[in-house]
Amino acid sequence: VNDDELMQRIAGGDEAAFQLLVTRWEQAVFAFLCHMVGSRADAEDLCQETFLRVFAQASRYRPVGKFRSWLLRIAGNLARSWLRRRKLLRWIRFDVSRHDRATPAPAPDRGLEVDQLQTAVREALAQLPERQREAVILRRYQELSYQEIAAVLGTTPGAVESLLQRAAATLRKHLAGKVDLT
Amino acid sequence: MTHVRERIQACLDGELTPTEAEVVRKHCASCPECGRAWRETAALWDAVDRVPPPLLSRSLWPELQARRNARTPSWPRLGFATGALAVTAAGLWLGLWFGAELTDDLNRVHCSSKVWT
Repeated sequence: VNDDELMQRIAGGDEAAFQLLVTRWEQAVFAFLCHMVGSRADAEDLCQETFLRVFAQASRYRPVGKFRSWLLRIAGNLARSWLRRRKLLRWIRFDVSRHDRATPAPAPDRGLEVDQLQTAVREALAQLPERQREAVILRRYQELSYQEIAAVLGTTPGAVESLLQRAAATLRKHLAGKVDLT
Repeated sequence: MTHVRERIQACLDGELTPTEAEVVRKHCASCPECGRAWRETAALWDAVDRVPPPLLSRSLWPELQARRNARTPSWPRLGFATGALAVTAAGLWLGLWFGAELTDDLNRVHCSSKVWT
């Protein structure tokens, strides 16, 4: 059963179809949100909220584009408003965890290099502006085409290319000296 | 005009037509600066790709289902609100109906009294 058919069944109140859709997509949505917000607990919460919205909006869903783009647009919108809320909260009250973070001790055993690379990349991704980060995550981890990313972000494929170029330049700066990029 | 270097990203992502991609590849093979940009961009995305995807340790379905049920008003809870609304609506309707009837009666009496005088 394809996603569009499932959505049609969900619109008719089919619980089993909704469960099938959740099971099919929860991993991808969670991974996307986790990269976007940087916290597993918040990503789980937002992932659930995404599927609740899918259920609520099922009757309005039209299979004009790809279901994946529509789904990730909902998740992306939720992640962006979550990030805005968090930014506002941090501005209102001084966040100790953000400003007084302890330096993580390096892992003592093998795999140190891999760990360091992954940590450096995660930190560099987290420092990207929201739209650039979203474009990178959608391209690298969700393997969306420029056309699909454009549909998620509400922009053009040309703008996506430009976002990725700028993201690459910023990432290169952040990773310089930490990761060998030659 | 767009410089070839600005299309490296799209070329690596497989977003160019075969002809466009060929132009970019050929240029990068002959131009040391663009060749370096190609290698650096490829190495950067390779490093990014090596970060494993965060995995869910369990399905979110049970929690999601509980959350949805909590949001959907059940019939017994809806019953009170609906009942209260129905009683209010019926009261209003009856009030208006009796009011209209009464006004009609008064008008009739008033008109009849005019005829009598």
